[in-house]
Amino acid sequence: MLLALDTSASYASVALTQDDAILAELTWRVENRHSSELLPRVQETLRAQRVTPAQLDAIAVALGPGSFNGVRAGVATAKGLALALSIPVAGVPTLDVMAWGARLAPVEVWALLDAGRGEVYAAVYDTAGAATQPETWTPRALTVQPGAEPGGYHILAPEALAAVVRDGATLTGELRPAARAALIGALAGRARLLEPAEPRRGGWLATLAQARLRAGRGETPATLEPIYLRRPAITRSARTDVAALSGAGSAAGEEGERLAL
Amino acid sequence: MASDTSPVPMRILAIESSCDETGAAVIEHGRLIRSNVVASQASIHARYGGVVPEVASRQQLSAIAPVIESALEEARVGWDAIDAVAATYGPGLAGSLLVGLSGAKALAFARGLPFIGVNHLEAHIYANWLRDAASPLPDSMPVADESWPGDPAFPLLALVVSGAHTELVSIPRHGVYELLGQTRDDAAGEAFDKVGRLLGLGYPGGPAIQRAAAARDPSRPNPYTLPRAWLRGSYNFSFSGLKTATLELTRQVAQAPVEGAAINDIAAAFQESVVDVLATKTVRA
Ligand SMILES: [Zn+2]
Repeated sequence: MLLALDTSASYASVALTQDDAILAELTWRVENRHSSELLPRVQETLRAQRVTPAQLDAIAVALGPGSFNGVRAGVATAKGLALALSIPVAGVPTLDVMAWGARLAPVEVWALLDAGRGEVYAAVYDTAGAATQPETWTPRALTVQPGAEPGGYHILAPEALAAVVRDGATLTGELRPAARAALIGALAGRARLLEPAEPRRGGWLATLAQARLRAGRGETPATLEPIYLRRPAITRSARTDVAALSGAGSAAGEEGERLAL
Repeated sequence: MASDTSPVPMRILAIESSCDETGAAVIEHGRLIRSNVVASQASIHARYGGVVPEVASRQQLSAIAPVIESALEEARVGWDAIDAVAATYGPGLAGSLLVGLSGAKALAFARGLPFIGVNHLEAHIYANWLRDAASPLPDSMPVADESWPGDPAFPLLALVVSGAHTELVSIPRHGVYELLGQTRDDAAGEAFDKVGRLLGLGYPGGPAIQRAAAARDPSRPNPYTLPRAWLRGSYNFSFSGLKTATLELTRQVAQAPVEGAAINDIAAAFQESVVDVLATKTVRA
């Protein structure tokens, strides 16, 4: 049995699968409560199927890009589970997972996630023929800046993104209203933007992870690394942590997340 | 080793990731250190002159699994020998904390073990109860007792000083804390970091300033003294005035050619001022 975890964006999803069948899947709007809500939902999902952690054979996790702390909560949880159960873990880029859900769309499919600063994380996938196999599902290499190496995963402004989208393409993902509006304006009706709530991802993550595991591309907790795409912002530590001995232990951080037990 | 008649040790895997160090330890009976593995990022943050939260969080995620594996290996125990998992829940940097916390909760869930969230300051205080497992316990050791010979005796006074903390705490008994005083501005460790940077001694400032101060000739009287912020009538601390005074002094001294000896003198004067205030207030309390 495989447990799949995706907390890379404002929707989170967990799925439990056996062979290629989905036993349970739970997708919810998590906002930035990734670290406090993930494990309770995992527990719920396993309990509903009367499955114990010891019965798991592998862990799948979405690697990002996305919310830095969201990705970290998912990857740290996956590492902990895999370490404690001595089972392999397979990481899958989050954009691959999102695009897989729209693989039957014509022309090409774009997976998009908010990257902040008015930009989006973007990758494009060919949807014709052999490309739509879980084993070979990777983004098309693209040169988005003159002189740059072609690559699969990009950070683009909505206008730059619209300039490389083919007519009739399908775009899926989670964008903030401003980025979404800018993109719709720039596309001028040439391509279709799916609704933000459409991503249902735990099961797709499981499918892509299973293909990696079968191909011997599982990883260990020590080697599993997330995908951030952005370099870290060099900011000073804002420690706001005095006199909390009797308090509930709230922690102020960059994303303003409240850590709860 | 404790005698055969002593109870089976309760072993806790303890994980700490609140800032720029990733730590994992296997602790027996709540205080015997069977292993204690720490991955430090100090050399990474040195080039920025301080801890960069996003860099620290990323390093935490890379280090967490190997550090936990090493802690188990060094303690020569497998998962079956672990009875509970503990982790720091705060205060600290959110991105760093959630790595250890998420990992520890996942470990506990997967193994069906209790999870214990621990306050960071409380952990600093209770570090005083820890003992090196290498020094053998006498056979008659009452390991099941709450109190061991040589433990700190209540009522206690704790001065917590680190990169993020400067707190004076009264502890009448286990788990009961009364905050007597804290810093009004910078933590003592932060002040050390900033002054270390100012004097060009590098990061982290604490050890760098200590080294510079120790390098001066002790037989020669220090030409510099720096002010102490006593904040009379309270057990609070303040280090921002001292920081400014150190900056001004450094500027004055820099009018003349600055040599290593002057830097070391200033470092010593700064350190003396901080330690004097901390020690005097603690003794008075
Ligand atoms: Zn600390």
